[in-house]
Amino acid sequence: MRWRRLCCVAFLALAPRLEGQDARLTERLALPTAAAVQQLVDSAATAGLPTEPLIDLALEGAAKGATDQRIVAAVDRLWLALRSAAEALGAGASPGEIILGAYGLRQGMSPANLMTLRAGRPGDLTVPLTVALDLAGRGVLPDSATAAIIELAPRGDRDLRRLVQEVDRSLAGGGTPEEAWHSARLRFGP
Amino acid sequence: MTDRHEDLVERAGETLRGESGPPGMEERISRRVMAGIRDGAQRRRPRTAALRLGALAAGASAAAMMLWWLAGAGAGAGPDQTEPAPGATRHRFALVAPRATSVAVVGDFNDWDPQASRLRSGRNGTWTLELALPPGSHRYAFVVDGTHWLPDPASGATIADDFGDGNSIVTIVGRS
Repeated sequence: MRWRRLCCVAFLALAPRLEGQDARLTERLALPTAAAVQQLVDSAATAGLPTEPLIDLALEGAAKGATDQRIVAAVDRLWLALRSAAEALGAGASPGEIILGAYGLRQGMSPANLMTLRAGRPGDLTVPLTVALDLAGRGVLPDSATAAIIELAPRGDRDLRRLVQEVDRSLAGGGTPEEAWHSARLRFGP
Repeated sequence: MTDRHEDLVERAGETLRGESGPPGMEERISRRVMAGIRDGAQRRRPRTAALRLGALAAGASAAAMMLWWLAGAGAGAGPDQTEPAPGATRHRFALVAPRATSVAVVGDFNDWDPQASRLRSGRNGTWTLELALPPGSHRYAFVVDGTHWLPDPASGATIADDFGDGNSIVTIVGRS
């Protein structure tokens, strides 16, 4: 009877914690690390931020064999980036915009770049932010990319995608990212 | 019966045998002691069995509850590998690695699981795999021979990585 009582008490004590845990975290991370990441995930959810990128980053760290401290620190940094992006993009920002904005911030963009994009391009910012992230990933300076994306607003999203292709073509030609950017802009026109 | 019990019985018997008494008492005492021990053991056995059964039942019910919980939690977690997401577009991953024995692509689309998406070896040491990816920017990398992580050399865009290896970005444009 004592055993049964103990098992029930232990299970009831654990159940609320286990219920809220993402199974992927508990499967791939040490339990204390999973709990620390889960705390950040819960805190992001409470703040109205997207939570999936935090889980994704923790899984990436686990797959790459990063230490527990490094994983938690990385997730914490992304949490902050998500919050900054949400603040910069304003109250109506979609989860997709916030995620792209956060990655943009981590890629060298500033909150001011995000605010400029929000003010300069009405409507959904998913494509402009994707292009900004792609350009930053190709080594284009965030200020230059942001300015071009605002300038090209009247031409629509399709032209923005072509801009990335132009940069790729220039990079394949063997120039530096800045040279590739300038030649792409020249070919692309105002 | 445990060694400790046997030792105790032996010592009890020795103590009793050491006392002076009428002839035949030694043997009677030994018989009574042993009978008492057997009796005690028989009385204890059902209790032990009940305790073990109780513990087993409690353990089994806890395990059943854990399995129920895991099944419930697992059902809602992770990407659905069976059906592509709405608006998903097929993207071809390719890596030239003639000396590799295995190549996998890992990214935010497969929970960074090196076992999830293995590329197939083709001509000239080119490994390829097509995956249906949902619209958006995806971070990914290749894992060569299960240990060596590298960003896609053919991708123009790389993104800073918290864990030291660097990731590539692939952007999937939604069908509009």
